[in-house]
Amino acid sequence: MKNDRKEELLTRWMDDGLSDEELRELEPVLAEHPELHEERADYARLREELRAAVPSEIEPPFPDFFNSHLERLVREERRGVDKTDSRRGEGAFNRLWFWWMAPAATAAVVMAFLLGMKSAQPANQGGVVDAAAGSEVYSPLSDVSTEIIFDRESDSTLLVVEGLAPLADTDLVTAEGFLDGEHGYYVNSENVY
Amino acid sequence: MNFFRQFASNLVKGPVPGDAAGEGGSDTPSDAELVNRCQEGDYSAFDALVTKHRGRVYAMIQNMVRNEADSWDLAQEVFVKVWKALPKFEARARFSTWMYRITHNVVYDWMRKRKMETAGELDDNLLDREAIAAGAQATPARMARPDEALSQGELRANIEGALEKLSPEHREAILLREVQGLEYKEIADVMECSIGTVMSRLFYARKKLQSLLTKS
Repeated sequence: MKNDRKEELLTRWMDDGLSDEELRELEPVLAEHPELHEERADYARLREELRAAVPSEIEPPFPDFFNSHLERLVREERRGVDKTDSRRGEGAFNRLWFWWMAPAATAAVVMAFLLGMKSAQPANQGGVVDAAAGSEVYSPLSDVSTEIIFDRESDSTLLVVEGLAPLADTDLVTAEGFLDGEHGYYVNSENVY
Repeated sequence: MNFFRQFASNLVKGPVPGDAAGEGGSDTPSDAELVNRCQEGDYSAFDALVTKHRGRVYAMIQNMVRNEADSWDLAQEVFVKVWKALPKFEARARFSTWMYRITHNVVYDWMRKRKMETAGELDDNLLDREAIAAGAQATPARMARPDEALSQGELRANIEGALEKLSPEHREAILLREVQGLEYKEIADVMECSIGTVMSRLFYARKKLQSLLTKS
């Protein structure tokens, strides 16, 4: 018997998947190697152990965020496809108008840049700017809201979380923060989240 | 336009109970029904498919990659690819088999990229060895009795160690067969090889696994 055929029959024999005819075909091999019966029993045990030890399903961490983040990715993907389609449709017409519109567009870009530079000056003296745009904060609790505030001067980010249950004094790490009335502040200057 | 209307009106969905293999119970929509609805632009049907299959996809990736963060990102990539390819899905194979094939491609692309980045060998040592995250909910095929738990922890560590020593192809064949319960033909479809190659991989993977576990 060819090796490939032998391997195939042995593999299926280990899985109890041989027909009577195939079993008869394999019998000479089994007679020649009686240790295969023991191997088969060992493998049946190993299969049980594998199934008990290796999970067939693992719920990803933060499963609800998994779906909502995926939805966002799909939406972005969809937007990209729509843009490509509309660009394709415009085609030759746009190429013609490009030469007319190019100087006007350049002027518009320069104007937008100058306006942007002006409006980017700090509007408030504290230098605290809402930088939530483009950031994403996930909380597994539905009744908790979060706000991200970026302070340009100190190059630090403040994360404000509303709706959490009150903390006990013992919950606070005051060694690296401080207590102010009923509020506790935890300061982390090393890690970036 | 239908897509965006559905997208906006179906943001909150619950888990979809039922048959993990994908054919659905009596009162839950089957994969085929959900796929049909997806192909008509119904995002809620896609969300239901994701909820139904994310555990298996994530487990398969996690068992191959052994890194929680990468597994999460790769599982997202799998489902984005599934979404993009769904209009072309013709149901010649089961949806779950087709999804495992996309998972296979994503994982092997990731391995190839890692290989280029590290300029190392594409072997198991290249993969990180983080255990399954404490926060992740794992569903073993069989629940352990409490008195078995301690020895199972040890056994699990031994088995995971032995699996990591297998080549990615051998490990994937074993996982698809013994853990995910796929037929030989389905494994061949997923791994894009002949049934003979699947048999050969299983044959050597089992021998190697037994010998590794005997040593340990």
